Amino acid sequence: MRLAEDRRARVPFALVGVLLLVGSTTFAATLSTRGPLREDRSVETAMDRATAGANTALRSATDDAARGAARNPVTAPANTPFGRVLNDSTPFRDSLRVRIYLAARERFRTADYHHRGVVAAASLPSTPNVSTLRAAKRRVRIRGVDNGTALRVTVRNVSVTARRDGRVVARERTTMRLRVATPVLAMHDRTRRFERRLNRGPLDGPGLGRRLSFRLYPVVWARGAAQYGGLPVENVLANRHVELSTNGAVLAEQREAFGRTDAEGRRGFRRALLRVGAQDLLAAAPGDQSPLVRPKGPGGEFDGPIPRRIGAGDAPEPERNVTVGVNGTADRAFVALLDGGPGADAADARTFDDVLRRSYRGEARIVTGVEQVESGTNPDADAPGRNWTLVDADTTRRTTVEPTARAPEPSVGGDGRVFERYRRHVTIRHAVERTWRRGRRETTTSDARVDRYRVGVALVGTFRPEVSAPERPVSPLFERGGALDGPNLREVPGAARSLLSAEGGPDGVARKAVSGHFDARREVDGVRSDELRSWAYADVAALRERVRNVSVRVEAGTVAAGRANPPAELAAELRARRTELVDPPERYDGVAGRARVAVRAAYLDRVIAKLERRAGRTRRANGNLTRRLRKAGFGSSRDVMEVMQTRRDVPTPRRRAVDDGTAGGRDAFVPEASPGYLPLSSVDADRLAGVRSGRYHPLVAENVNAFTFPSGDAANAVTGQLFGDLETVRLRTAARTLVAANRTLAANPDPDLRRDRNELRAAVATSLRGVSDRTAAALGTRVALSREQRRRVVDAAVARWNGTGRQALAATNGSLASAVVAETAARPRTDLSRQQRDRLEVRIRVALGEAVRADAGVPTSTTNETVVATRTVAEREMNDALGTAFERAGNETFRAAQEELVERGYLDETIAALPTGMPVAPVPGYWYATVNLWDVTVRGEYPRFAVRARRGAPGSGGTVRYVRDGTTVALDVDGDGDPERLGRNERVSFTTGTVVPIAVPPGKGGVGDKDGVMFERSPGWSSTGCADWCLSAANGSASADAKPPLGE
Amino acid sequence: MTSTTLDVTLCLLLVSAAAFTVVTAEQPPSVPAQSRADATANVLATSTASVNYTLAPGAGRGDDSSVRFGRTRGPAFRRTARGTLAGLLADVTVGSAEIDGVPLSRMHEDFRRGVTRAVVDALADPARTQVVAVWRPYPSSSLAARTVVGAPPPPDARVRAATVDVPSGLPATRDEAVVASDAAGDHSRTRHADEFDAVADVVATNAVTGLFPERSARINIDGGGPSPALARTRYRRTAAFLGVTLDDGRDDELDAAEVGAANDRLAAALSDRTARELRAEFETPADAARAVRLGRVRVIVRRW
Repeated sequence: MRLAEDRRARVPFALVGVLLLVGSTTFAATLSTRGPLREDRSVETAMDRATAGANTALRSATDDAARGAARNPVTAPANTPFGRVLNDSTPFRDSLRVRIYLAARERFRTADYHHRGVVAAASLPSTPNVSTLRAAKRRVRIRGVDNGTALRVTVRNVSVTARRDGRVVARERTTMRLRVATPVLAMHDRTRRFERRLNRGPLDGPGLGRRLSFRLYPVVWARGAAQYGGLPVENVLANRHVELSTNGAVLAEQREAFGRTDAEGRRGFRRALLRVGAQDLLAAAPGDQSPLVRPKGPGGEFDGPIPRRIGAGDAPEPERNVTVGVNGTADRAFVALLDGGPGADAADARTFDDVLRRSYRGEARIVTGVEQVESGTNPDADAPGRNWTLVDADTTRRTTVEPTARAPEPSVGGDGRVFERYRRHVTIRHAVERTWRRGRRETTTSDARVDRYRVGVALVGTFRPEVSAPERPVSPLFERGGALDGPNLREVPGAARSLLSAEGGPDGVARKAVSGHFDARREVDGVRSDELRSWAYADVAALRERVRNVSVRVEAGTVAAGRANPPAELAAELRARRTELVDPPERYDGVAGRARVAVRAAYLDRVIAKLERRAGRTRRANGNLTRRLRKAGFGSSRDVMEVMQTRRDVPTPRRRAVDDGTAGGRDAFVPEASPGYLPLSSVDADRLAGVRSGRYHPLVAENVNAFTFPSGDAANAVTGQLFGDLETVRLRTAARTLVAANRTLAANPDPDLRRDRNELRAAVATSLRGVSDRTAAALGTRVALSREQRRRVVDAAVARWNGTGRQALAATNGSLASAVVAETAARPRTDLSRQQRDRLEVRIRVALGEAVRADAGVPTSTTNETVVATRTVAEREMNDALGTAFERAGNETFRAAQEELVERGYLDETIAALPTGMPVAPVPGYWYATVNLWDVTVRGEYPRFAVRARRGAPGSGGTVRYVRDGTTVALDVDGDGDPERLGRNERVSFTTGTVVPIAVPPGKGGVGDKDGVMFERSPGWSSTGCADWCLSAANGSASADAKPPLGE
Repeated sequence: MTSTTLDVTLCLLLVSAAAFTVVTAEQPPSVPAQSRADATANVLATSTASVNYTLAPGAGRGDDSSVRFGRTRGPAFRRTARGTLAGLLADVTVGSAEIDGVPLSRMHEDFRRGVTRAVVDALADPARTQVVAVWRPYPSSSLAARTVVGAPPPPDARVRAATVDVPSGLPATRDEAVVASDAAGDHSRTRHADEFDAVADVVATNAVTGLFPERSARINIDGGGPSPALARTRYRRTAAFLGVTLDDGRDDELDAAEVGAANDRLAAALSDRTARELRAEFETPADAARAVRLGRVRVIVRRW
């Protein structure tokens, strides 16, 4: 249909389009011809700008609040209404939130915006009381971002109000979110972490305790070894080392926590290192109380090269192995083998001669083999006729034996040897005559039965030694020959023959054999040749020397911690090497050859048995040690081991900058400690920041030496009291003391020392006489000498040494034994063979040892006095020599002083020779190590500890500082002009400690502090860290924040 | 059918034309300079910047030889500051406060350069914008500070201005001053004979507290690095300008414990000077008190 023809009232679409076009053109024309819009936007503008200004204000408020919170961090909320607003678990963060709120409120007031009569400002409600403050705190949320180096702040419900002529024209509430680059959260968290790590013991994980162990171990082990080696080390672990190590460890912890260390601390540590190095090289100088490096003291800085760290490099370590040998046990087992006596179990309690005798045991036997070739049947008792009654039966038996060619072989058994064989044919004829009766009539019948046997007879010899030796064929056995061309068991065939004739010869034996079980045997003890004894003796004596040198290696640290059992390991070692040591040949060269090996085996068994008994005692001794240590507060040996093993698990941290993500600029947290170096001496308050007056002990230390001379002397320490006072000390101890005193006297005739020495000498002489008597008695059972002669022999031997001290030493270390033997041999009519000499010497050595242990104690008091007097004189002597050298510090001086000490030489005898430490000797005489142990506790407190970061505008010094100095934190929260106490910051303080054990080989002077001070406590120890300054600091509680928060 | 197609097509064409006309209609004239100034002020108030600078100018070159620096330049002096541009301008301004045109410290010189650069970088049209930050505790105060970024407008230009007030970091003192101006008159027991003195005391004390915050100064003097020397230098220079000595004539370094006493001396000297100036400027102490603006720095944006 066409449009024109359409009659319906329709509006074409195009018409609508035309209308739209016209309308839009008109509208556009209106828009473009109108001038700029003039409307009053001043309220909106004011609101916008006030909001923007509030942004800046909040930002600077946060920055200021953060600085304020860092300068006065709250770590302990006050027990006041306002203080309780801060949560106990997050006082710092809460105080920061409060500060941000207050600062923002203050700043908003100055950030109002005036625009054409409109005043717009952001505002927060005031906090006149606790509940409003709590609500205010909840409005502010903070979160650390970028590892805490920036702060994300959210303040909720900030109202922005616009007023015109005092009338509110607009109001809105917004939540402001900002990110402010201030690192205070990181500073706080790292300081807390630093503090936590400082308070960690070595078993609590990585921290100061472990680092302290790491640093003290080398000191103790190096100095202990030096002392043992004869260098003049008087105080192995002195508090000066504890101080130095603690400071080194603390610096490492600073680096761990902050990435940097305190510069003052580094300098102080360097100076102290030089000073302590000087002292240590000058050794036993009694310089423990010498002036310490003052943290801020003027002058006196060393510029010389720093000596290597004490004990670095090739110093002995707990990980090193200690060699423990069989040593004296070889002798003891040997004597027990010769003499029997108590020792091995009854079954093994074979003496040397027993072993030999029982080795030569054989058996002669006659064995038979029987074969029945014919077995006759018993004839029936047939009556001759009816009604005959058997009256009597008479049986006769006739045996005939005749040689035969065939007979069964008797069973000989695997180990027997047949000397001769016989074959017999045995016929047994049984004839029976029966008498019958019938009425009065009697008649006789005869009958017979024949049995035939073939019997083999053999004469057998068997080797039946009653001591064990490895199973090997023995040859020759029943004839002369083999080793030493000895007789072996050649008596056995003869014995067998005589047994045979005793049994009636082969015929008799055959007769007996057929009639039932036959067994004939005879034990034969072989005759031993004369050379056998000496041959076997020489052989087992050689084995003794070999066994003596068998040793095992145990970690020194394990020994030191009382967790090693060398005897058990030695026993295991011997057992493992038994075949090698017994060394049996493929084939025994005759009975003598086997006897020799049997002696070796018996000896080894004895040594092993003895070692095992020692092992049991060692276990008990270790248990005792642990129990006593625990009782004395040293912790269990397991703990000690753990401390030792974990001490290296503290990697040395690297210097590093702060990783602060995008917050801009490379930054570092630098600790500022006051004092940087924590000395053990007290420090005047005016040298310290954070302390107002008085004297202050930033660090106190206690180091307890478990075994000092002479209270822990000798094996008695194990069986007796650990710290108890012994009535006597061992002769060895007294003798060494005497020798040392003599040396010192020679250099310096001091009357006091002489008196003490004389007393000690008399006591030692008495003791030595007792030992000599017992030695003479022991000699008597072995040598054909009169009592008087024996006495003279021993006296002559003793006289080979000069002076009572050395004589007593010779008695205690066994060298007297060979002298006695030599003297004995020198006597007429006592020509001793080599074997006899060896035997005698071993015996006397053992007897000497017993004598020395049994009743040769010397009164402790006498010894003690001499020790003290000797030390006093020696110290005086050394001070005279080195007093001036001590003042001059420098490597050259150290070296010169050291050389001088070595040249003069007397010091090592006087001081290093005084025995200390606890010999690990499960039973007297089995001394395989000397152990000692130091328990170290340190307590420290920084009067002021700060961390700085280079942040901020120059007005604040361009620095953010987080300060912990124990001041009270007060803030005017309610706006009344007076600050309210919120809490305080606690000083950074710590308490930790460690245990350092050491083990040195036996003998010499042992190891330990020889200055007689068991509890070495630094001044101020009892006052537990806080000296008299505490009061003054409390009085002057800093209320520096009186003008909050813009005050600073 | 053909006519219907034609109808619809024509309609769509016309509708498109109408839409085109509306969309391309000429907009009203562009935003005037006034809103550009406001926009710039908003930018200054809201955008942040990091400024790396060195404190070294504060050391060594000073005319005060009584404070010894271990070293006068190097990494120990490098710092970073971060904040809104307006906040940074306020920091620069207050930090480089001057007395009679002489700065109290040179520590801010490099910081000022850094902040200036940051502000210029943030401006949309630096050639036609000037930013001035002013801190003046009261009109005609000789202790004042001013930071200018950009050249002044040409004399014939039509200049629009916008302002932002930024907290200066010093205590807001006006209320306190007003109270002091009243209280001094009422109570003859106060040691201020003159109400001007009372106002001046409040102003001076707050200014010193704000410029030399006691705990912060103490911590800086006890601290490590160049902080102690810088803090001492600033004290000495200020003391010299105000004509006071800090140490009773003892030739001794300022200790942390002496900070409180030093602040008192500075405040006393500043108070005298302030009282003089207030008297010359204002008719009544109440007027003077109302004019006190210690707590804010005014940032003015000029646009042409």
